[in-house]
Amino acid sequence: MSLDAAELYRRYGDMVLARCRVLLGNEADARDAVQIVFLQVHRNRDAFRGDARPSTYLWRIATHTCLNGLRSKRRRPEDPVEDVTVYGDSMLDPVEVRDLLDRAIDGEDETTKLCVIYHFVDGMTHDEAGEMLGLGGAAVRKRIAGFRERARARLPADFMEAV
Amino acid sequence: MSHPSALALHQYRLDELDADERAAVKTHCSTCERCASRLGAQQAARTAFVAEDVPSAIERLAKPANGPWLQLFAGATPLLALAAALLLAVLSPNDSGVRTKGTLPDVELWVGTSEGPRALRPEETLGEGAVVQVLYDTNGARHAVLAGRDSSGRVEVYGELPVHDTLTPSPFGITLDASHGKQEFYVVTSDAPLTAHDVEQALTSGRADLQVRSVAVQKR
Repeated sequence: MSLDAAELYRRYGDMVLARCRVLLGNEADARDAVQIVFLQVHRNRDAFRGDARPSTYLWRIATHTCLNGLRSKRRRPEDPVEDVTVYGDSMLDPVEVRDLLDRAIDGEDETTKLCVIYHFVDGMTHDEAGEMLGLGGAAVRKRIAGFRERARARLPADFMEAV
Repeated sequence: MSHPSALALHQYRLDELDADERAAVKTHCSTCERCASRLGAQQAARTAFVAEDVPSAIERLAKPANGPWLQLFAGATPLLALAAALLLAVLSPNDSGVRTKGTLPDVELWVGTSEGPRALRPEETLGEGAVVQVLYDTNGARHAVLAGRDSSGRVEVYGELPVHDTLTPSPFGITLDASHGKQEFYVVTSDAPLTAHDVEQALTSGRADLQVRSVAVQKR
């Protein structure tokens, strides 16, 4: 099974862009990330197994791309947070998303970071996040609980209450 | 249900959810102001997005001239690449020129949809921008080339195909252009390496040593 990246862009580009805006909090970075996502899809077009919806497949790739982008470009505290609420994709407000991504998940392993993003930022249930990651819902729940414990120790209590 | 995730809302908007999932999201959004607003924001973003141009880096991915087919030809001899370019310009063959011999390759045509690729349905017509993919096997032949011909008779040689003895998708999809009428795709196979000239002969005057199988779609 093969995917046509340009065709996918026309159908799903807005979804991927919204996803990247929320995670990167910056329009220019988000648009760069979108291009990277679809170029990756194009390069790996024969790898799509067809056992997931294309939207799910793209959501996963966009999330990984943004996480890589966040790793390579550490935000500074003075960087402005753009108002991405207008795009309506996150269950958190932009400042909470930035706190979560810039501070709270720092030091967590890759899988836990993804659990946190899918659950807190995207509003997925543990089972839904597990499906994205090939894990059971219980495994996601355990990782989220561990994350909460560790984050509570290093972040203000009101922040963890917010999420 | 709890608030649908951002992805679930997108999938609802894209009509990709199962009937039960769709009903649950619809019911939720009818009573949850916050999620109705989230959905409305997604729809507004969609409206803005479709008014934008597709970035050129992504647009190019759809065009065979800049895609892997050209890369395949770039890996062949310069003469082959030149012959392919000439073939685009000078051929105007007719159906009666096609001959077949030996074991034919199997060929199917698939079309990309929001639900994923599926086989072309009988009598189905496709419009500009539809993405099709040829599935083929080479039935033991050692070399294969994919070519196409539109209703004007213009032939395009897309490139070499990897050899497979089971039905396999061609390396990428082909986006249909705005021309109308019949669009044919040819898989030409041989035990010897094929040049664009060989393909030209196979599609115009016939070549006893080459096998040709075609599949067609009607463009509207």
